[in-house]
Amino acid sequence: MIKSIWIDNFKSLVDFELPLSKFTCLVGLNGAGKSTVLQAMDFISQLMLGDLDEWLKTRHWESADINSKLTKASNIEFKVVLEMPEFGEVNWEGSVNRTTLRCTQEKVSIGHMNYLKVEDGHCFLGKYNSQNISEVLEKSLLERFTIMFEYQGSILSQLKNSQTEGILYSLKHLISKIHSLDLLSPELLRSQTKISDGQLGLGGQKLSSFIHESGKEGKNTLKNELKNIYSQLDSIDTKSLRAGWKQLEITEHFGEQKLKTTARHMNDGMLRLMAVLSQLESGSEFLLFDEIENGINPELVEFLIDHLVKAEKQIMVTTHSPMILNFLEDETARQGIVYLYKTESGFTKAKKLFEIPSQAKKLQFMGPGEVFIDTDLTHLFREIAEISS
Amino acid sequence: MYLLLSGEGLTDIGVCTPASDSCDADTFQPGPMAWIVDQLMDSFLDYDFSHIQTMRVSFVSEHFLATHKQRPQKKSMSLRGKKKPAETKYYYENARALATAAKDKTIEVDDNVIAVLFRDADGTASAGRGNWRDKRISMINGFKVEEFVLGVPMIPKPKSEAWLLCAVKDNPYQGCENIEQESGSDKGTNPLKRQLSNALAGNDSASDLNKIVQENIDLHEIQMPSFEAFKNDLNKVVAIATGTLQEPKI
Repeated sequence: MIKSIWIDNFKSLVDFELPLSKFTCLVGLNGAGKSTVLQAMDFISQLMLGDLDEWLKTRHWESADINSKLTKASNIEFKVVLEMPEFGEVNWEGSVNRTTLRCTQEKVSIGHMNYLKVEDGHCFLGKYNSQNISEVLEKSLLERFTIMFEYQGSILSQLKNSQTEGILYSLKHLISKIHSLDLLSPELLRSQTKISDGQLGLGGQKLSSFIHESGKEGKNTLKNELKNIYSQLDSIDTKSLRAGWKQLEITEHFGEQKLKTTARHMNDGMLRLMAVLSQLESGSEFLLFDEIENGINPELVEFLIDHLVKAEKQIMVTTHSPMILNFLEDETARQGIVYLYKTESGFTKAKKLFEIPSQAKKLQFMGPGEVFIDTDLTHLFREIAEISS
Repeated sequence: MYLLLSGEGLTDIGVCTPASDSCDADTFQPGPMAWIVDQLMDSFLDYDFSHIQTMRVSFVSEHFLATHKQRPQKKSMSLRGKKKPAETKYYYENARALATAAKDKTIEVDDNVIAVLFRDADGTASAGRGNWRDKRISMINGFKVEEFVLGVPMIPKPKSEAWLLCAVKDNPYQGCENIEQESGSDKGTNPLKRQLSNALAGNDSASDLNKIVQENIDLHEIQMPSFEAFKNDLNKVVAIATGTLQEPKI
């Protein structure tokens, strides 16, 4: 599980630390930086995959769009803290050069034991004591080489699996399996696609091929889940069309009448739920959804939230909806609701909502969503500043 | 007549000693705001009678109200809107819980129970946000929705020190409405707590404040909108409890 992410110099995120729980829900006023946080997490994930150019292209960004306009710093610094049951608390930190889009400095460590270090064009691999480099604990693993090749992102994106055993392999796997659906759109969900490569696009494109690739069992599981709320639903099917295009369709019954509907004509809410639920069964480790309530009828909110909270994967959503928050248990809300706000200098900051004394006090008397809607959020930053001083 | 008080701590309504979420007079240690309630009631009753000294008082803490909060009303959640301003629901729910505790007390003591709910306007629950008037109305609505007519909101603006400061500052009782405009934060440049302490030359412990309220303050001289609203509300419920004013229809 990822416990926290710190990033510096990524759009409005300057010296920004985000605490994460198994289920995290970002709330805040418009423009507080919720979507930026999702983009930052997607960026961090992409570092493990390399090819930042392609990532920028997908988002229609230039490399000059990444850094903060509020500071003069050039590199983007980051630190990810992970809790891994088999290893303990693992830190991965680095510094990304904005021109080469490469981690020019990088380190993976547990306490003062280093497992990877990139510095001055050299890479150290193996387990050694960072305070006493002669103390090499696993000599067989130790390797030091001059980096003679071009790459983007983390050096881990370039190393073979045989070079990244144990911690490094698990770290790479987990980070590269962060998957953001921050631009989920009905139009893209409806589109026909050929192959999904095991996941949806940022906007939910490839849904038809993703469901197709999940096979009969996958479609059946998805149908059974959706049947809880759409009782008329009989089946979810996909068809292979000419040239490999996949078409998604559902069959419903109304009385005796059977009705087939293709994705093009399905309702937005059902498509979004399909996208979310199918992702919970995907190979991703950490899923991000922006404005999770969009297109979802209030009647379905509890169904959706219960699935997200109980999911085996780590989940982060953003929302403006007090109803979403009100369906969280108090303890989940205490751990998981993070309030994002902007300081007077324009920097985005994060604070667990119920660590703010007024919010904790109100939670004793009302639901998490009611606390949120009852609070004058435009002035909440003052209380946070006061308790931090 | 019987008094049920709820407040935030020793320097306002008081606490139970030993610490507890609720207590009757024998273990209730009254604070300065409790003495204000007691003295005002005494003056409204036309005869000398201290509810505190005659042990006709009970206390419930904020935590007691939180653990005895009322079930949500019909709707699953209440939305903010034109009729429900921000930063008010905490006051509303506290009043509902206290109204219910007061109704139970009424049966227990077999007498009219006046419930006084003390909360700072600018306390921890709102930290300077929201409007005093909206908070007071929310408390009144909270009492009303539980069909309890003897509830009194006691919401000093911004906090209890303001009322006391009015009476003990240089030029006492003069221009006190200005104090209501100050911040309730204890971390500001000249917090009310410090102003009160300075005005009392450092003699501002809870027992000092209790003594001052009982011996040195003329409560009817304090002219501050938040104090007068409380005083009028208390006067009204005392009149209802004694039968000199007809019970309003809810």
